[in-house]
Amino acid sequence: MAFVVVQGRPAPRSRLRIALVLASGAATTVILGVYAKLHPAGGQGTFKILFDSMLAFKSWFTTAAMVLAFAQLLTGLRVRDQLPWPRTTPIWLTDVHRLLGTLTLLVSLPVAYHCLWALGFTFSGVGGRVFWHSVAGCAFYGMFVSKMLAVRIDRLPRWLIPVLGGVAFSLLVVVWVTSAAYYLTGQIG
Amino acid sequence: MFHRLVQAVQLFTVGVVAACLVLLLIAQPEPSAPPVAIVPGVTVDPVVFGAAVYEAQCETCHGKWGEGVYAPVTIDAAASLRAYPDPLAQIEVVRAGRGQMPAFGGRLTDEQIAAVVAYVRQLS
Repeated sequence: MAFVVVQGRPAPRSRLRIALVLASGAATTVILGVYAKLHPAGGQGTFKILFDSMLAFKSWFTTAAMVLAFAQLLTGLRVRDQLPWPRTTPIWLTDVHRLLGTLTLLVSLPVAYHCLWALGFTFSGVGGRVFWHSVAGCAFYGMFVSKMLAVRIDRLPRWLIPVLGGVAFSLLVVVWVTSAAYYLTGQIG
Repeated sequence: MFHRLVQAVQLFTVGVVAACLVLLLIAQPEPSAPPVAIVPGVTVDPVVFGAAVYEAQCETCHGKWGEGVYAPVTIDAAASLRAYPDPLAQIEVVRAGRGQMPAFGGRLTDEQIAAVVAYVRQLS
């Protein structure tokens, strides 16, 4: 049997803080999207770090980011007692959780940099793969900013950070499915 | 100790984020590639001529930068160079078509096909 703890409606100040957190993420998303659309993209390569093509580099780095994010999701669930294993939560698990989140961002940065600087936001084929990739990519960083802000603001509802983290992970999955998955399954490249 | 390591990684990441933001604002695309000759007697500027042909004929499926709009039609220059060391082989694919890709032999001139292949081969 599942029990649902019903909390009262957030106080006005709490709602204001939630709005601030969400607005910051939305603003980040829009700023990235507008930059990517307006910046004169040249389609040129940036850095490939040991890979023979930008496509291979970006696909594997996106995959690494997703694996790290998944590991962070698991540690987050354990920190919040939503996973039964390990039986006792190690004291260092919170630091591991933070480290995994930081590494996820770090690994994703060179990929996002190339997307934003060299390729831009693609509206061609609205509803197609690249359009949704563009949307999810910008929204992922917006959600990341929201989560970072939520972690540092006191007296926010307890559900907010897990929800933001979950949405950010879901967006990263969309980014991966609309890009690296095609390369790794041999459909492109 | 581990906590300090995490803090150091976080600090480093903040630095990388800042560097990326600065680069996004100040980095400029490289100048156009010089003209190249890929078939005897045809010298083309891949960025000017090939890009125009690409935009008109290829972009709908392959995307603006070869990133692909409707997979699996992404163009990867490195993969192209591996698969077609000789550009004439790639020109033949464009001319005769392959798989779901239609033949462009009747629609484009030899110069246009050569130009668009040259353009695709220098995409990053």
